[in-house]
Amino acid sequence: MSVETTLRLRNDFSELSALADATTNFLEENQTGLDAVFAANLAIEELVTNIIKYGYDDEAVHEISVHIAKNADTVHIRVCDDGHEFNPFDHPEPDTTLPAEQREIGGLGIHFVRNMLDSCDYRREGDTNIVTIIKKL
Amino acid sequence: MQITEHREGPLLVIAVEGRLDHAGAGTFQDYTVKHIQNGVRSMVVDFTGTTFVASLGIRAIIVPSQEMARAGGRFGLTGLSPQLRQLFEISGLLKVFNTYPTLADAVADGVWV
Repeated sequence: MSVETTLRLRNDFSELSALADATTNFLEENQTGLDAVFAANLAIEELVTNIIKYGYDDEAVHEISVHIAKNADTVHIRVCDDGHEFNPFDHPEPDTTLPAEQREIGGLGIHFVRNMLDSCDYRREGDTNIVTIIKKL
Repeated sequence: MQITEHREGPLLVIAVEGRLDHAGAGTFQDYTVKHIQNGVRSMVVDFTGTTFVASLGIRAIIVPSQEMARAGGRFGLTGLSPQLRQLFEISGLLKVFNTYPTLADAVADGVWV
């Protein structure tokens, strides 16, 4: 059986905690294990934070949509925004072998998403960025 | 996110409840750094009640650990869930931080001053 939900938010950081609650509630209500709940929260928080921070060239209100589908084997997450074209996975991996005090912090969030999730895909359709993430259960 | 603190002998224990995410990271960083600036040299952060940490939360943990190293004190972590431990591992930070399986292990360590 497959269950799904679509969550919509404005490009405003104050929307993030309601988004996190809705994500967690949906996955927990559908018997998702701790590992996948954590990974889904991580992917959504990191991707949406990036979009709000870097995605827009104007001061207007924009809508970001987060679609979550769960079936027996996977959790699928699709994040869509109408910001400028941006592929979050098209960046070099940070050097995690450096001592903590010499690190560049940027890029760590996407590094987490790449490593904690099983598949990450980006495409641009018309004026929309579409990121699709899969976590195997 | 909620932060509480208590003393275990020379050790200041800071417990983080809930989500250390975009909203909580700055609060946590300011809270811990302020204690170090005020003279605390032995600090353990207890993540037993922490349900989620994002990259901004990891950054907020790195900052007080660097501050403590500069001040000549010791900074430790305990109560890491498997998911949180994995984040530290992916960041290459697990070997950088002093981690303890339980708070009792941290308290029993003889290094605190």
